[in-house]
Amino acid sequence: MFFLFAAEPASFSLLDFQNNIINWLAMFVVIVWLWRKYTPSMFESRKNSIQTALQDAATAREQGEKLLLEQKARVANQDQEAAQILAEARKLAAELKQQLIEQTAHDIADLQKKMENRILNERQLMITQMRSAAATASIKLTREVLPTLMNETVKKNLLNQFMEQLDSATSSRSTISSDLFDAKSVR
Amino acid sequence: MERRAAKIQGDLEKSRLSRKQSEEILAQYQEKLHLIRVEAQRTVSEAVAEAQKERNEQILAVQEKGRLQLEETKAAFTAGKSSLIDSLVVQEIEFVRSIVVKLIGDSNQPHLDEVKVRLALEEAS
Repeated sequence: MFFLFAAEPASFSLLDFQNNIINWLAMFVVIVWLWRKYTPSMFESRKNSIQTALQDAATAREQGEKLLLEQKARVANQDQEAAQILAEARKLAAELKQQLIEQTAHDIADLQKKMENRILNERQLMITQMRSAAATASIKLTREVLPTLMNETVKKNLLNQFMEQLDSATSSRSTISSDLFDAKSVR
Repeated sequence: MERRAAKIQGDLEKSRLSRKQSEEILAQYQEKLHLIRVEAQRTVSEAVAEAQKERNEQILAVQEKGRLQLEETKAAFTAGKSSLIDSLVVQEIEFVRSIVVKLIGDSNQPHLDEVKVRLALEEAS
């Protein structure tokens, strides 16, 4: 404000900046204009960042408290959950045990059937062996007995039988041959 | 400004504490749950092992019973073989006679000693 009361009025000049009120007014207007132009956005940005920080902090606090409450609730239900897990495990164990018992009963029945079949097969094998033994023994005994029974009468009878069979075989063959000859003649 | 900064700091501190408590509670919860699951698994394993043991014992018993029955059958056959051969001697003699008759006729009847026939049957079996 000193320029308003400047001394040396004799040297007062409108061209002197310090003495020109218009210049000072213009400078003031420019300063006010610049202030109004740039400071609101700066303050607004600052306000927004503070608001965001407040909001974030409040959100983090709420989330932390919510998480804590959830965990407390889970812990409160932990005994019930543990009892449920154990009950399901006992139920599963009982089911598996029952399945195994049923499977065992089935397998034992199959095994008993196989054993019975094996015993039957063994008996059948023994019977077959005895039949075979009886047949073998009869052949052996017959082979031993037959020579002792071969007297003249038997030999004669066997020879007669052989000759009769030979005659019948020869006659049937000659009949067949004559038939064939007749057939060829016809052709 | 200071009040706002303190509020922000306080909220963040509360959040940090809440999360720390939550993590501690969660760790305890998970530890206990793990123990419960281990116990549940042990319950199932013990039940299955017990049933499996009973199954093995029953199957072994049946196998042993079958083996004994088979051995008894064989032993009974071996023991009864002598009497079976005795009962076969007469039939064997008749069978040999019928073979001889078919071969050479019934003019001569073979004389078969029972002891000899029995011996032949024993040798063949």
